[in-house]
Amino acid sequence: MSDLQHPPVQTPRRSLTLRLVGMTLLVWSVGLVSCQALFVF
Amino acid sequence: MVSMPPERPREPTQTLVTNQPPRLVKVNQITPRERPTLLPGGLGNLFLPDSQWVPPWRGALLWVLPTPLLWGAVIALASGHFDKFLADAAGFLLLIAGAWLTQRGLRGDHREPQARFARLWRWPRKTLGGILTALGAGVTAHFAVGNGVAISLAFAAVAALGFHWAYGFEPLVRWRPFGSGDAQARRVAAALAEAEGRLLDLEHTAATLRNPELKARLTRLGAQGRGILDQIADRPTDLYRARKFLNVYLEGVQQVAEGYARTHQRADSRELEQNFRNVLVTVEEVFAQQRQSLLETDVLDLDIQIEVLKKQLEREGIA
Repeated sequence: MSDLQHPPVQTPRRSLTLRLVGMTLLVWSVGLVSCQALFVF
Repeated sequence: MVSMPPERPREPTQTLVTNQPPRLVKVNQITPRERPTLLPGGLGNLFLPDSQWVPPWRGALLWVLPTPLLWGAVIALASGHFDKFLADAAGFLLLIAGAWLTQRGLRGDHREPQARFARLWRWPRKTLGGILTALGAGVTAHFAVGNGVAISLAFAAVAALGFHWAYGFEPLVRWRPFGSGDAQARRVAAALAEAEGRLLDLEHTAATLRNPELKARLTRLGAQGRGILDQIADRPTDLYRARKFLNVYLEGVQQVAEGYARTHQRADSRELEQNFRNVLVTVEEVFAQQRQSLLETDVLDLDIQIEVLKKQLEREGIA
């Protein structure tokens, strides 16, 4: 790479396990509060 | 007597090209000399066109999770709880905005060419999407469900962590300062950045074209152009040899491509399409010649250097 070039900017890739854990946390937080809001008055 | 122009050899994949020699269309007849509205780096890159297929499930979870809030808002409104309606609607809108930005960011990861020379500001769409998702979770937990501040913050934090692991915040960009501070290097860097901006515009225009052949040609031109910029970056003295490429052809093809993309949406003209194809064929050849000539110059320069070194060694009685 030349001195005149910037290094590429990339989001590091995550393992499938970590992504599944992340999605579980999203379901647990966003999904849970959304469902709670449906039944709370 | 009118001399016939030489026939151009057909490419195997190029089924629609006739044997007519390429004819340059006048740039000013097609497009006004103006900058495009979708400049990379501006607010426009939030709304770049989607042309490349990405897996539909990417980011789909973020669209599904807030749906109960929509029903909650409808029920709250129907039952006369206006404050509950506002809370549900606010949470829903924040989460949907977060999902939208995240999906744009995920598509951008797949598709958008990166600026390597130009210092362009790009909206960190996934990061913004993650912030909105966390904010939406917190707002919903506090205002719609009625949790305390601490619990709501905990929900927001868990949402942010989950988002980071599932989709990832964009890394913070710290531009590396250029190695040399002299005026010459700055001039080369500025020329490369400007040329790259044009290539990015060209690639964005290519993404909007519907004709797959023309889109492929334009994309290939972008890749060729990037190759030439890389060569110039490796040997900045090549800048002066390539200035016609940077100043004339690159700007010309970018303007013609934008003009074609704009005009083609309004009027479907076969003649215009053929003209555009001819221009692209010519410019592809020019780009290839430019690249070859830079390579040949490199070889020539190396030959001269080897010769000089050999002479020097002979003079000093080593060889």
